[in-house]
Parts: sequence; structure tokens; C-alpha cells
Amino acid sequence: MRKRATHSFGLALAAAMSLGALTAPAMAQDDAVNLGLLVGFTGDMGPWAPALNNAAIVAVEEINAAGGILGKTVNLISEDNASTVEGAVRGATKLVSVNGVSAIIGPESDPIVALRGFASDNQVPVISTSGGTEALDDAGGTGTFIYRTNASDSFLGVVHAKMLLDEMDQKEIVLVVENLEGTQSAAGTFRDAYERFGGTITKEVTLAPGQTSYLSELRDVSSAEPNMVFLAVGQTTGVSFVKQAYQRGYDWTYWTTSDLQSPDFVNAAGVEIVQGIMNPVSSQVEGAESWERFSAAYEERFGEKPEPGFYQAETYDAFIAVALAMEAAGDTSGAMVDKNLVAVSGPEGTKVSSFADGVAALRDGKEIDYEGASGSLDFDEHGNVTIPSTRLLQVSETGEWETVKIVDSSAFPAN
Amino acid sequence: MEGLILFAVSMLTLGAVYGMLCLALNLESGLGPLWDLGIVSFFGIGAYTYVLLTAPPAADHQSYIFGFGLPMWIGVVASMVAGGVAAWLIGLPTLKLKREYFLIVTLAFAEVIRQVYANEEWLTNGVAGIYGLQQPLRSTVPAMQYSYVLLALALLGLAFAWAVTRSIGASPFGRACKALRENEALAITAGIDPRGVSMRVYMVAGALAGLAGVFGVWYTTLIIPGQFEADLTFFVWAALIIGGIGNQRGALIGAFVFILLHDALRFIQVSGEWAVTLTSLRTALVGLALILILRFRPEGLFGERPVTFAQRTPQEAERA
Repeated sequence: MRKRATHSFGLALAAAMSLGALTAPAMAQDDAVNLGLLVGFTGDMGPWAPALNNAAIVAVEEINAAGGILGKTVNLISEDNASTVEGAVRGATKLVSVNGVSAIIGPESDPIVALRGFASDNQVPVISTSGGTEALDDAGGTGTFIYRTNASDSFLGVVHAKMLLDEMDQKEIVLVVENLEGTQSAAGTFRDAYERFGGTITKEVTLAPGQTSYLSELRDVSSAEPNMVFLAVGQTTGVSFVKQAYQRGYDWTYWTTSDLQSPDFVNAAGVEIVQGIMNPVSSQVEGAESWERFSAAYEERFGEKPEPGFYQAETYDAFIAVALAMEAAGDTSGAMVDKNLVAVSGPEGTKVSSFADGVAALRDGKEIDYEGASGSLDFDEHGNVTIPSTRLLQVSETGEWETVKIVDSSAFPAN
Repeated sequence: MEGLILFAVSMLTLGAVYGMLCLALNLESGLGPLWDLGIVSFFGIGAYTYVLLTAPPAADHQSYIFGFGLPMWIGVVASMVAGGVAAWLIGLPTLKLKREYFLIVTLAFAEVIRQVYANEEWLTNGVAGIYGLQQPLRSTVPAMQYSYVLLALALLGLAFAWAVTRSIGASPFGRACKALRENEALAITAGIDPRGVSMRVYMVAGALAGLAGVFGVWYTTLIIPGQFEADLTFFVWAALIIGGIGNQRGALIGAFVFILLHDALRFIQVSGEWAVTLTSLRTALVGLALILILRFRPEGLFGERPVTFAQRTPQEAERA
């Protein structure tokens, strides 16, 4: 008996030791600055996370090429949050405790909400670059260590409503929404704004995630005889829904949230089915220097252009803004980033559109306003930004998401 | 060094929560006869009960109608009661079923319950969840030291679950559970009531999983339906199989080994480009460990040991 127990214990110990050997920790070095990217490489966000990681690589390489932050090399530590809240807590704890990062960039809606207390406890700014949740509408800002560089769902709701009413002259619509946090949130803010600005939602149909058949829901939609259907659904459900509608002979025009705006969606559903589907995405104004620079650098590094609506520019901007905040403070601690992030983002000061320009202006003793690749990146008192313009994308005959028009959205109401 | 300790503390805390679930599952599925694929149901019901009783009333943008702001200890007790009552309710129609049929039905129940969290906004605030929840004893220590307090609390909870499951395992009731597991027909001839025993062990497991739910909430400070997907049930089963099903110690060690396996690759520092590949290997690593264990050590790291009640002969004692 005894012997077997010892054997078991030995096995467990051996397993633990071999893991221990793997775990040579990379501790923070004095001559380097560690910045963390915490996104869902696994789980629901898996398809999008690599793009954010690429954007982070572009930003960090650009900062290092310009001499680093205060002369120190920047290390990018990419960490997975498994698209869950537990994963976010674990990943953030690892980034801060083991790697000593000065800022955590990237957590999506649920993950960043779970990190609100963590951020201020540890004095480490946490910056979402793709989380639209309304829970962050008034939760962030200087002192809270919470920010985001993408627009809130409540603002995107206004954008959808304004685009449909003003640009498309679409006064009536049927709303189809999948019962997920992100899609419900997007649909809710759209509903509020659309009805407030005079639109009518003739019917609202909720889809349960992961069903194989949506025939009864399709009948429900068709009973309202829509000429346009607003789809606030995820990719898997979206593909099933539009395919089944097509098979039934329903010839609706679709308007969708950014959840469906990807080449994967077009490939999975088939070009003949989704051709003509439209989606407005936040965008930097056409020809903006910062966007062109980022886009070119990204293409050179990875052989493809960054996709509008993929939050790559938002992620890139967060890294550059954090680096500039450290330069402005002359200190690389998280507390100093929190103090200076709003100041370097503008709107007052000399406009700069790259890390190198920003550093040069700061060394000349000027105040700076970083103009990002995703927009003007002016944080408000709650750590939120607005988007300068909206790009209306439409699936073309060849299955590409093509820009149909660009609309100035800087004057849209904030929510 | 302190950083590593803090991360270890965070991992241990989560390990303790998983440990509670593993002990609860081991009680019903290792010791007892119930193949439960719905352990996450009670974890979720405990968590939601705790939150609805202790959270403040809904803010403007939220829509849940409860939120009584009661003291935490009431929430803790209620979470266990709710877990037990839920097990009773689910047990009423399902405990007639054997093994694989019970397994399918509990899996279905878990999904139905998750759909309730997601759809009944008046009760749970729906898919948006409830966030910014308080942690116990938060104000007694500086913020940076709080993780130690949370770990201590989680270990206390784990010790409680250990004590309960261990005393049940050693009791006549525990032996009745084992007898049912081994041979139901024979157990009935020995005067054991299969329905009554199964129901009781199922309710105790439900109550313990409900308690674990409270610690889950303290760990994440929020509650959303996405936390209670079937994945969690499978994680707990995997941990239990790694550790050794039917063995109390195995259940406990399995939970920690599982968390360690899952997070070990976080420590390999690679360039940004490799990070994507490496993270996708993490779940694969757990799968590999599971395959290796099932191949070379099917009883788990700590297999179940037969309990003998007869006095050992001196020769036997010497050999052992």
C-alpha cells in the first residue's frame, strides 16, 4: 500500500517538476519596458485575436525602431484570456505579477469589466481596443486605470441609426438579434437610437445561438414583409440564417453589425447569398496620414492590409498612446501612464501621428495630441473616444468587402 | 519573486474552486453511482443565488428585479441550500435513470438552466450579467494583499468540502453509495434504498458545488451566463480523471494539476508571433495529458484504493 502511494506521489511530483523546468519565468528587466496584450486567442474571440496581436507587433517594433521608450527596449508580452472572465483575471495577474507589465491592452467586453478592480488595485492601466460594452460608458478615465480606444456600442447604435435614416433613407426595418451579450448590446443601442431619430422597427426576432434550423424565425421575419433586415448576430448563426433564408427564396437586403464583417463570413455563406450585404464600420478619415502609415507598415510586415472593423488600428493606437504617455511622464510606471494618457491623446497640443514625432515634440517641451490610425483618439473624462468617420462597406460581386462611401460621423450625438 | 508568488496565489485560488467542484463530483460520481454531466448547474445556481441575495438593487441600465443587498454570509448559506434544492428538483424525475441516461439528462438540464440565465433578464440581467460585485473582507487589508485573503478563504471552503466529503466517504452512508456504484442489485438485497441514497448524495454534491459558485463569483467579481457553460463540467471531469476518480486525494490533486497544466505554457516566453500558436497548444496539452494518463495510468494519478475493515495480520502489516 505504502509503496503504491509513494509511487503515485512520485509521479505527481515528477509531473510538477517537469512543468517547473518549463517555467523559466521572464521577469521584468530594469532596462526594458514590458507591455501586455491580453486578448482571447482561444475561445469565442479566437478568430479575431491574431489580427490584434499583429497590430501590437507593428506598434512595438515601431517604438523600438524609434529608440524605445525613454531609451529602453519595449517587450511585447502576449497573453491569452480564453475569451472568459476567469481567463482575464488569470492572464492579467500573470502579466502584472510575473512580467511586471506597465499596461494591459486588448481585453474585450466581459474580460475588461472583470478587470476594473484589478486595474486600480495594481495601478496598471487596462485599455480595451475592441470591447463595446455599455458597462464602460462611464466607468473609465484618469484615476480608474480603465480606457478604451474603440467606440462604445452605444455610439455605434447611433451610427447605425444615422446611416440607415440619413444615408439609406430606410425608415422601417426588421431587427434580427442573436441572444449573446455583444449582439444584444449592439441591437439594444441601435433600437434606442433608431426609434429616437424617427425610424420604426416593424418586427424584432430573437435567435437562440447554435440552432441548426431557423425556419420558424424566418417565417416570423417574413410575416413583417421587410425590405431590409438588420442582423445583429454572430458568424455561425449568421451563416445559417442567411443561407436558410436564401433557400426559402427570401430576397431581403441585409444590414449588419461588425460581427459579420469578415471574409470568413462571405466564404462560409457563399458570395451569391451575401452579395450586397452592408455594414458601417468606424474608420479614420480617408487619407489620414496616421492610417496610411499604419496600413503600409502592417502590409509590409504581414503581407496583407489591416481590415477595417477588425480593431487593429485601435490596438496599435493604444500601444503608441501608452508609449507617449510614458515619454511625457519620463517614467514607465502604470500610475504615470494613467496620469498622462488623456493629456497626450489631445485634443490640445501639437498634433503628432507617430511615436517618433511625438517623442520629438515632447523633447522640444511641447504638449502633444496623438492623432491615431483609428481616429483622433481624444479620450473623454470616462476614458472613451468617438470615431471621426464611418465607412460603409458592402459585399461586392466578387465577395470583397468594398467601401461604398465614407461619412463624417464626428458630429453624431455621443449616445 | 513576489510576482511569481502572487501569480501562484491566483492559480491556487482558482485551483481551490475547481477542487471544491472536483470533490463534489467525486462524491456523486466517484464514490456514488451517479454519472453527472451537469455539475455546472449547481455551480451556477449557487453563484446566482449568492449574487441575487447580496448584490445591490439594479442600476438604471440593468433589469434584474432582485438584488437584496443582504450580508454575504446569508448568501453563502443560501447558495448551498439552493444547490441542494436544485439537485433535489432535478433528481426527482432523473434519478430513475441509469448511468448513461442520467448523464445525458443532466447535461441537458445544465444547458436548459444556462438558457434561463441568458434569457430571463428580470431575474439574472440576461447575457449582460451583473458586475462590480463585492469581495469579502476587502477593506481589511491593502488592495495588493487581498489575493492572499481570497486564497485563504478559498482554502477554507476547500477544507470544508474536504471534511464533508471525507466524513461521508468513511460513513455507512458512504459505503452504501459505493455498494450502489458497484452492484445495484446486490445493494438492494443488502437493504439499501437506491433512490434515497442517490438523492441524498446528489443533494450534498449539489450543495457543495453551489458553495463553489460563491468562490467563483469572488474570484471574478462578476457573473455572466457564459461562465456556466458545459465546458466547465468537462474541465472538472478531466481534472477528476487526471487525479483519480473515486479517490478523495486524487480529486483534490487533479484540480490543481489541471490548472497547472493549463497555465504552464504561459511561462514560456516567446516572440509575439509565436504567442498565437503557443496559446492554442494549451488546451491540446491538457488533452495530451489526459490521453497519456488514460493510456498508462487509467486509474489516474491517485487511483482508488480498496478499503479493508478487517484487522491486518502482523505479516500483512510488515509487507505494507
